[in-house]
Amino acid sequence: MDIPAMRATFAKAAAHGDEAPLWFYSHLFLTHPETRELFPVSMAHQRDRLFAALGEVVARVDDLEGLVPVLQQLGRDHRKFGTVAAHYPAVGASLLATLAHFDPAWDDAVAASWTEAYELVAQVMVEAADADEGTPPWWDAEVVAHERRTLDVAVLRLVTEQPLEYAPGQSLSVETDLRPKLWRWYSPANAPRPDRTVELHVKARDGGPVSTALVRGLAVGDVVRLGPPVGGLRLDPDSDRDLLLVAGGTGLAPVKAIVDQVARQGPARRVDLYLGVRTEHDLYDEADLRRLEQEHRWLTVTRAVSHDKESGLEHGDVGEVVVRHGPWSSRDVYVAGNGPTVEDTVARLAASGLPADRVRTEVYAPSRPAPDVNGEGTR
Amino acid sequence: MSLYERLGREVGIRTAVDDFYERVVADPQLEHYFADADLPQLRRHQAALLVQVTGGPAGYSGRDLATGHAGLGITAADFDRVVGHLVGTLTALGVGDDDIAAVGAALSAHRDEIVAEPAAAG
Repeated sequence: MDIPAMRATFAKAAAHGDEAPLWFYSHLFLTHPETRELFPVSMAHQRDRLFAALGEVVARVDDLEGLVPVLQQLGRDHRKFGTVAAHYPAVGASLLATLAHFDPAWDDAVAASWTEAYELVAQVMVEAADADEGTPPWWDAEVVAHERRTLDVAVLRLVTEQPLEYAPGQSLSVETDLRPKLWRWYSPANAPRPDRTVELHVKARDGGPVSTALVRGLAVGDVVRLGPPVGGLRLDPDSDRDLLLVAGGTGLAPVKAIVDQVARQGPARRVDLYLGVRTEHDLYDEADLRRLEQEHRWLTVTRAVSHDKESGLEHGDVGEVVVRHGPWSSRDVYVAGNGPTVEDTVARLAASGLPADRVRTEVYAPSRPAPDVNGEGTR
Repeated sequence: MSLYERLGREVGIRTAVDDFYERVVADPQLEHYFADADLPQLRRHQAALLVQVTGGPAGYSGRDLATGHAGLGITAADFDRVVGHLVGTLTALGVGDDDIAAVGAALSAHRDEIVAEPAAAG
């Protein structure tokens, strides 16, 4: 495999922006019309994903040790789309045709490299999917509670038909009949429970078709589908350090799951949870947070508001408030929220002298596609 | 609404056919197939055939596809090249994903009448 040549080819296609994925999917549907039904009605949110994922694979193709678990995760996850082994050659042929189309210097040698690489990727994904046949490709889950907590935030309680094992802090993809074949990622706000309930915090966002449907369209009694868990903010199993949890907005969900895990499984440790919102009105989960504080002496919750001059709470961006209350040099730190919040918090913690390897993060982007091709949103 | 109507009826289909042939005959790897061809007639036949198979009025008077392509020795690789040009046309004209799949279904039904060698496995 000539990796530099492959990267050069990929870069040429990527340089054409939206044109390359459009060409790819058109080629795929023209040559294998049966694949059309695997994709959502509107491809608008779909097209750039494949190339983003491919870009990740290409960037990491010389690190097979790191790449293989990523591909296995992807292969397992693709079972929920109804992807079967027979679809892989179709995608491979259209991928090569696309790369050839956008690369005037395409030749048999680079074609051979891409063929070899794609076959390897497909093989790892198919084998991982086959090995996972004992578990469901997705889990049906009934909505048993749907609470609109603010104008755009809903807290959902679901009960899965089959038991669904995941680590607190991980993410699950969700699909609703209101938006068929669009899967979006959310983190359960609780550790797995014997009664199979899963709590999700969903914020409706402009241009986020699934979140908007889950907040505004979903009702008690509806059934949604959950994909297998991936990545996320998993607690370091080898550490019993005290914890600092930092959340912006609905980034509260994964850190609340971690609090739940500490409460159920230990080890006993101090937990400080900082929650940042714009205004007091955006504190959508106060009743439960107060209950947790009362039940657990080891837990302290601090709320910060960034745009609420009237509020008696701490003022400022959450990262700023966290650092003001430091130092946190003895803590493991978990940060979840939108990109700017996470970046700002990480930068401030680093500037305060906290070693980078103590900090784990998960970014909640609008209309989150996947945590990323690592199967993780964690850096 | 039929595919014929969604593609813009005869005018839409003629536009697509013209765009498609421009791409195909400009491809050095394919031009030899058209050395002796009557291009205007080919385009007319192609458009009439597409109008008919997509649900428009029946007006195709050309030969059947197997006869029309017999003796040309069209390879699978060259067929795939032509498919690539068709992708170019369909995306350039903004044809939707469902309609592209419908065109693909019609096309794959006739592939074996056009290609002179057996289809590759897979």
